[in-house]
Order: sequence, then structure tokens, then C-alpha cells
Amino acid sequence: MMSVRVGIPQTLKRAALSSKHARNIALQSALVRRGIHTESLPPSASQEILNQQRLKRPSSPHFTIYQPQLTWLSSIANRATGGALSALLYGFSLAYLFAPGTFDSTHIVELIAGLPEYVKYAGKFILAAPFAFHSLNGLRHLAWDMGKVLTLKSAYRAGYAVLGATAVSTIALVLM
Amino acid sequence: MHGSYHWSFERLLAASLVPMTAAAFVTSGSNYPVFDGLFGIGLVMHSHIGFDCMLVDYLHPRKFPFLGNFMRWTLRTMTLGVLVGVYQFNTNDIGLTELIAKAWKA
Repeated sequence: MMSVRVGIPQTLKRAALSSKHARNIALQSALVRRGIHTESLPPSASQEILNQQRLKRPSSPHFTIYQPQLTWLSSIANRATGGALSALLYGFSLAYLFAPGTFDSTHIVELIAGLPEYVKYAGKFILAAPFAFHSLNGLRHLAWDMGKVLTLKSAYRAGYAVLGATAVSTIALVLM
Repeated sequence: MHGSYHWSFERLLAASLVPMTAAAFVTSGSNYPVFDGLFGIGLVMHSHIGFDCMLVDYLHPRKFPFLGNFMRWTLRTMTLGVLVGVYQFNTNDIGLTELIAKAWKA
């Protein structure tokens, strides 16, 4: 690769030994020939550019390949159940605030009473299971915060205990 | 140091919900309206903190400058509305614990 190549380095080399002014003119002409456009940006634009680049970057598979384990499954389940129950609380409270006539207790109880039995059981199950799991896993979290059951083995044992207790509690609640 | 107070408050709040939930099963909200009110406030605060954690994890303002901050304020407004709604429901209607008890047996 000893052949002469065209481009900016050659232009600069030629201009290097001449004056600075001549070098700049050579550089500019090289740029014009290449058709490079530059834009003047303030330093504060760096964060925006970085965010845009990050959005376009590919990410390695993480969520799709991680082996299902009690640790993280119970963790995301805790968040999901808590979020769902809170969304229900928020939804109902806001609905009552904006339409107290439609969402008052008498209407709601009447609506539920009119549903078929299997729908009532299904509804109870859908409410009881997340509530039981979130409450019991919450106790596991509080135990961690107190420094207990922090080893892998004990965390797993506590997790299985929570799952078992959730099953029992859900059945108890549905039958109440 | 200051941040640890937030942590402690969050755990104390969650821990206080345990006996309150148990009590809600045993008694009725109509008998102890003050308890019902405290329970309602505690639940809403716990929910707000939970939602806020989800926003910090998934919609951090550093990465989502508009949406992150917008959702933060939306959450705060909604929590305010929910507090008013819970108050209204507990005052003008039968209250949260009573509603769940009735709806469960309906």
C-alpha cells in the first residue's frame, strides 16, 4: 500500500511546508470537494445527542434469556400485583370522585349481586390471589429489611413458603 | 443520611399496613371511622410510593426528560385526586373496608 492516495492527508502534506494560510485554503477546498457539512452546536446539546444515540443502540438480550428463577419472578410479581391492586384503588377512587352517583356502594353491590355465580368466584379469585401474594411477599421483603432470610437458601425457602401460603390464603379468601 | 429517612418511612408505612389489614378483616369500617380513614391514607401513600418507584425505574427523567417529568406530576395529581375521592367515599358512603366486605358477600 505504498501507492499515492488522494484526500485530505495528501492535501495537508502538500500544504504543510507552505504557509498556514495556504494550508487552510487547501483544507477548505478538500472539504468542499468531499461535501462535508458541519453544524455548530452548543455544549448543552451533548445530552440530547447521547440520548438519541442510546435509543438507537441495540441491547443484548436480557429479559428474554434470563433463566426463570424464584428470586426475580417473585420480585416482578410483587411489583405487578402491587401495581394492579393500586391501579384498581386509584381507578375506583377517581371514578367515585368524578361520578359519585354511578359508583356509590349501593350500585356496585347491586351490580355484583346480579352477576352469575361463576363470574363472582372468578372475580374473587382475580382479586384475592394478587392481594394474598403481595401481602405475604411484602412480609418477606420486610424480613429482608430487618436483615433476616438474606442467604440464597433462606430466601428461596421463604419464597416457597410465600407461594404455599398464597395458595392457601387465596382459597380461604375465595371461600369467605 | 437524609435519604435513609425516606427508606425508613417507606418500611414503617408498609409495616403499619399489616396490622391495619388484619384489623380490617376483623372489624367493620363503620364502627371505627377514624381507623378506616387512616387505613385509606396509608394505602394511598403506599401505592403512591410504589408507583413512584416504577417511574424512577422505567421512566427516569434523565433518559426521558419530557415523559418522565410529565408522568411524575401526573402521578402526584392523581394521588391528590385519589385522596379526595377516598375521603369523600369514607364520609358520604360506607367506606373502603365496608365496601369490600359487602361486595365480597354480594
